[in-house]
Order: sequence, then C-alpha cells, then structure tokens
Amino acid sequence: MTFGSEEIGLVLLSLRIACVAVAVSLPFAIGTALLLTRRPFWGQSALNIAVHLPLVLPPVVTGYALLVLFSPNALLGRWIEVIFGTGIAFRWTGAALAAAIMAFPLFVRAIRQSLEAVDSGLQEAALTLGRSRLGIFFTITLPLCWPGILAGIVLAWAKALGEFGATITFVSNIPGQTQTIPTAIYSALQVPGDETAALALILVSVTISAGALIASEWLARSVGRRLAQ
Amino acid sequence: MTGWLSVAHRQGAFRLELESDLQTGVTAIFGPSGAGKSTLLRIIAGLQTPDQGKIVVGDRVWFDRATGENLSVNQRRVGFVFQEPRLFPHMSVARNLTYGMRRSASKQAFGDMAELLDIGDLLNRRPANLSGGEAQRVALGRALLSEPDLLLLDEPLSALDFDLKQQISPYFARLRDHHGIPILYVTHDIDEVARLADHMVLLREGSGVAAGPVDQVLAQIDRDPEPSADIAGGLLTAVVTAPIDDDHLTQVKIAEHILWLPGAVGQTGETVRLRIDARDVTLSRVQPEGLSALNILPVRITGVEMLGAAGSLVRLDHAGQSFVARLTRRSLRLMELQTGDEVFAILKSMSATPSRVSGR
Amino acid sequence: MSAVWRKSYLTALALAVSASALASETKAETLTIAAAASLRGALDEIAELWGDDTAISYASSAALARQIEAGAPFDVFVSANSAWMAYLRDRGAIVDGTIIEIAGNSLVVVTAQDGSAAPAEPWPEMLDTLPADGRIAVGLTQAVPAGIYARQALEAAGRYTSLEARLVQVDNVRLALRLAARGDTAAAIVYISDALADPDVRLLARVPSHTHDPIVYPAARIAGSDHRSADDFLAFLAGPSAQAVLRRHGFAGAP
Repeated sequence: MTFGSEEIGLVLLSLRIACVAVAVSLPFAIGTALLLTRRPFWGQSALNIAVHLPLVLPPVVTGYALLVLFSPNALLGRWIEVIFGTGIAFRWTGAALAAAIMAFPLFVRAIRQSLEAVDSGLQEAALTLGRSRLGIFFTITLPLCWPGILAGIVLAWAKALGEFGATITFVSNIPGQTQTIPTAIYSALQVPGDETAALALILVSVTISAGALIASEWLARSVGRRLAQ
Repeated sequence: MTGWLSVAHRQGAFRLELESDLQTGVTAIFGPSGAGKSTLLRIIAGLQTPDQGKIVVGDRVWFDRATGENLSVNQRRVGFVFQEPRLFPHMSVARNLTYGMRRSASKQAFGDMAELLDIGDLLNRRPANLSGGEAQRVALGRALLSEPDLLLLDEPLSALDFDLKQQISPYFARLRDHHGIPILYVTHDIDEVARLADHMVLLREGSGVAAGPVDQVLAQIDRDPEPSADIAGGLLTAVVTAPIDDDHLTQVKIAEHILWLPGAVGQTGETVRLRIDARDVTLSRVQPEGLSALNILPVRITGVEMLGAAGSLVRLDHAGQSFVARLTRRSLRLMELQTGDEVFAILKSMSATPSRVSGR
Repeated sequence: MSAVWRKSYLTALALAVSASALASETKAETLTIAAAASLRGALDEIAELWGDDTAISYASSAALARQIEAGAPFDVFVSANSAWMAYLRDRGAIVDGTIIEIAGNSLVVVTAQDGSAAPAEPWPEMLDTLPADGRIAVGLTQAVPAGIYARQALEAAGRYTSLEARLVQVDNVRLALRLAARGDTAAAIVYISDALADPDVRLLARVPSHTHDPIVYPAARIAGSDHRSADDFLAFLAGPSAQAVLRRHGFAGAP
C-alpha cells in the first residue's frame, strides 16, 4: 500500500472524527465531572457506573449496543433521522459518537481530577464577593482546571483516534465514509504476507498520538507555569 | 446598632450559641482556638447554615429559621477576609481587586483603596509574587471594593510573622476609621483586640461569655481570674507628650508619670490606649534604679487572688487606672504583698494604639 | 481568558461540523459492499477489474450480518460462511433469490518456512509427527468459522480429544497463521487461501474437505439496496475474470 490521496483522506477523516467526538463531548464531560464532584445526590453512583461502563465493557458490546439503539431500524435511530434529516449509524457522525462514548470515561476522569484539585476556598471567596455560581465557574473554576481539561482533551482525542472495536461494530468499515485509521489497519492486516502495508498507517497513528501526548505535556506545563507567576 | 444576630448551631459534640448586636466599628470575636469563632463567621457569611437563629444586617434579613429566609452567600453583601488571602492565582492583583466590584462602582473607589492599603505598585503582579502581608492587604482591598454591608475578618493576621503583623495592622486601623460598616474581627490575640477593636465578644466553647466595649470586657476578664489568667492584663489611657525621638521612642504621660514607648505611637496631645499583659509586669518594694526597663509606675495593690497552679494575680491601681500583674506564689510570699501596699510596677512591654474611645 | 477560550471552542466546533457536512456527502453512485475480512486481497483486485466506484467494508461476517440486520446501507454482502447468510435470509434482510456461492476454500496444516517439521505423512497421521509438546494454532473452535471447521476435521480424524490441550485458540484465523509463521506454534490449521499468500509458511498437509462442513462464500443483494448495478456485480463475481482472481488467491472456484 502506498500513501496516496486515499490514505490522506482516511487520516483526515479519522482526525475529523476524533476532533468532533472530543469537541461535542467536552461540555458533557465537564458537566458530568461537575455532577460527580458535587455533594452526593440520589443516582450519583448510578451515573458514575454508567459513565465508566465503556471503560470496562468489551468495545464490541458498546458498539453493538449503539447499533441496537441507533440503527436505521431502531426507534432512536428513526427519531434522529426524522429530527436531523440524517441518521448516524454507518456514517462518520456515528463513528464520532462511538469514539466519544469510548473516550468519555477517560475524559471525565481527567476533568474530575482537575476539578477536585481546585481549592474550594477560592470559590468560597468568590461567592463572598457577590459572584453567581455560574460566573464563578467560568472565571475561577474553569481557568484553574484548564491544564487538567487540556490533558483530558488530548487523552480523549488520542483514545477517539485509536478506537476500533465499537467503531467497526457500529458503523462498519466503509472506505471514505466510516473507515478510520484503526479499521484501515485491521483491513490491511487481512492480506496475508502484506503486513508491511499497514506499517505506514501504524507509523502515522503512532506519530499523531505521540505528538499529541507531547503537546499536552508541554501545554499543561506552560499553563502551570503561567498560573504560578 | 446596624444589625443583630442570634445563632444556635450544633456540629458533632460542639455547640455554638450566641446572641449579639452588630455595631459600627470593629467588634473583636475573641477566644481560644476551638471556641467556634470561625464557624460563627462562616454562618454569618452564609457558607454554613445554622440549626437555629436569625441574622439581620442593616434593614435586610439575611437568615431567619422561623420564616425560612436564607439569602445565599453572594446575595448577602458580605466581605470576608480569610486566614489565608485566597487570592485568585490566575489573575493579576488588579483583576483580583476588581473581581467583586459592582458595575456602578467608581474608578475613584479603586484608586482610593489602592492608596489606603498602599498596593498601587502591586497591581500588575500575580498573587504568587506577593509577600504574605501584601497578599493579605490585597485580600482586604478586594473584600472592601465589593462594598459589603458587613466585613468579616477571620484572623487575617494570624498567618503573618510578628514583623509583618506590625506592618499591616496600621492598615486595619485605617480601614476601621474610614468605613462606617460593622466589622467582625476574629482573633485569639488579645493585643490585636486592644489595638484594633471598639467592642468585643468573648467566646468560650461556643458561647458568648462577655460582650461590650473593649475596656469594659477586658476589665471584666481581669475580675474573673480563673479561666482567663493567660489573657489578663489591663488597658491604660495615656497622652502623647512628645513626638518620636532619635532613639525611636515616643514619650507619653499617665497622670504625672512619663513612659517611653517604642516606635511612633501618635501625634502630640493624642490620647492612646496601652495594653499591658499581666505577665509583663514585675513588682518591686523599692524604687528601682539602674534597670534597663524604662517604664516604672508607682501603684497601690487593690487585691490579691490565687490562681491555683498558675500562680497569682495582683490587682494594681495607678491614679485611678487599674491593671494586673501576674506573679508566682513564691514571689508573692517572699515579698509579703498585701492589699493596700504601695509598690512600683515595672512594665516590660506594652502595645499602644490611638484611642478612639475619647476621640469620638 | 475564559471568554477567549469559549469563543475559540465554539469556532473550532463550528468549523469541524461545517467541514464535515461538506465532506460527508455520500456518493450515491458508489456500490457499497460488505465483505468478510478474509476476502480482502482477492476482492480488492476484483473491484479494480469491475472498474466502477466501489467501497468495501471489511469486517467479520458476524459483525457485518448484524449491521445489515440493523439496516446498514450496503448493497452487496459477501459472507465467509453460509450460516450468517441464512440468518439474514430468514429475516428478510437480503434478497432471497440473489444468493450465489462465489468461492470455496479448504483447510491446510502449515508450519514456519524454516521449521523442522517435514511433510512426511498425509492428514491425519502427520499430526502425530509434530513434536509431542508442539502447539497447534487454530481459530476459536466454537466461534471462528475456521476454528469450527478445524474442530470438525479433528473430530472426524478421532484426534480432537487428544490434541485439545495443545490447541492455541485465537479469535482470528489470520493470527493463527502468524503464530505458525513466526514459529511460536509448531503448526496452524488455516485456510489455504491465506497460507498460499504468506511467504513465511509452508504446507504440511491438506485437510480433506469431506471431513468438515463445506467452506463456501455466499454473496447476495441486500434487501434495502436499490443500487442498479448490485445484481451486475453479483454476476461479475461469478464470471470468469473474478473467478480467476479468486483461484489465484487460493480459493476454490464457484461450485
């Protein structure tokens, strides 16, 4: 396999799926992390378990559950088609959903840790200064969590980029539409004696992931430095 | 009176119960650690909800268990300076200061505050680059710029070392004189009470045991020897008679006697309040000579009380002003001190503040 | 900082979504094929010969069948076994009359190219010539089709019970082939189509096809598909040029 326009398109599609997965799930991840760090409420542990399920379930199970829920023949899938005019199963949007759900536990955990690390004394001080809780969230909590959220974004993005099991089960492996780097590597590995063909994709995926991790380390450090000054 | 509060709260085995007026000026909430001082402030600010009670500030009800009224913290217009400055680390000093300002607030107020607290040069710095005293001043300015109806200070000086305390307390004194709002000042340092407060509430194990003007409550403490021996002492009123000299001393007079106080105490003619710790008073039968101590007052013994293991308290009177000395039982026995004796009191150290009691 | 951060987040989100909307226009003309992963080498070549635009989604036959049942927008399904095709036919997910068997396959025993085992004996006696502690890689004998066929053949030869402890069962028959190629196992029982394409293995023996269920690759048109060339493609699969490709890849021709 040479690295032609088809492969470039594949990498771009994968990047887009991972980016959209992370961008769309970011507010939900922050919201969930906030709920989980709040004082205990009824249903909190159930929420915690639900969020973490994709981490412990075999990815195929998650993918199959998505297929059962969102396929064109399922109720939810039909609603989505009616509401948005297009379904998500077997489309790149479905791949983004699968990637988002698989990355969600890591995302929430990273954000939750950084939320818990914020000194609640600062929030108290901001309250006594007359600010609303929402205002405090945006002016104090969020900026102080920023390094942790950033780390969560990168981690979730890398996970989304590497997601395989749920993706191939939910949206299949259609070149140009739902084929991602991992499912393309899987396809390439199906030709006996042709493992080297997958090497280019594997190198790309390692490079992107390693680059992302290095970038996040660097960002987190520089943000930390800026906060400390 | 600008407010009133009545609070009852149980937290595990601890019980807080207090009823008090809120007066303009500084009211010290004084007591040993664990007396419930900080809990009281948190309840007033709304950071904690009491089991029972009512809190009224100005004409607004902040909390009333009976009617279910309970303003949230950010609706109470309360200024709170915590033990640690709690500045927002990601904002400059200027952004910290303006964080609680209302839209209607004037630029003038900001400039005045920066001048009052001497923080104009710090505005572009990050909190991490401030000294402890600077940070606490910024925290104070930040609280004041939110235009609170009530200011709560929770041992704002306790984290600072002695020198820093000396540096920052004039700012608190200035603040006291510039803002006509009630200030509750939690402390366990009797010197701070004497220096800064007009009124005080003595809190012990969650209950207010004494309340009123500082000199009255301190005198009351001195009359109640058993539990408060370690904070006994006295307040003397003196008049500044000469400005600070080359030896860095200020001359003051009590009746006809001259005393020398370290540092600048006040303007000539100004009345100052001297806080004396009972442990810093030594007694002598004869007029001492060749002593390094500068301040000696002739006094008459008005009473002697035994304190158990803690020794004894000797009540003294000088020209109608009273204070106490703390002596070991042995000294008392060897000197054969008795009520009515005329002796000399050697004052090892004192703290002085301009008195506002006579100034008003 | 927070305002800037909110704004840039929203911008990025908007860009990502709008860019995707443009790119995700599915090409209506493309013939979308769901195919068993083991067919990849041959089917890619056939699609090339076919000439028109195709997109082939390779996954396990089971996963594809479940997706088709769920309404996946495929036009043609090529399965690696008849069980899943029957499953879809029973549910009306494929067009019954269009099922054709396009290829067959058979099992072989392979070992590493530089391994010591010699093809001295035919099946099943050759199994006894393998080192006594040597392991044999196979697909999962209850789940993966190649593993199921291997179990049937071993049972027919009366050696399943004695060899069971030495079987390394893996979830993908391609992995079994790799294990043998690297010499991690003494041998592997795999499809001949895979074995012929792998230069790192050599054949020890062929497994007689009457000792297990027939290995066939059925293809059919999906019930929901209205692509006009779906039937043409099925015919092309059965035609001489496609069959030549399949044979070259080690598959038996259409029966």
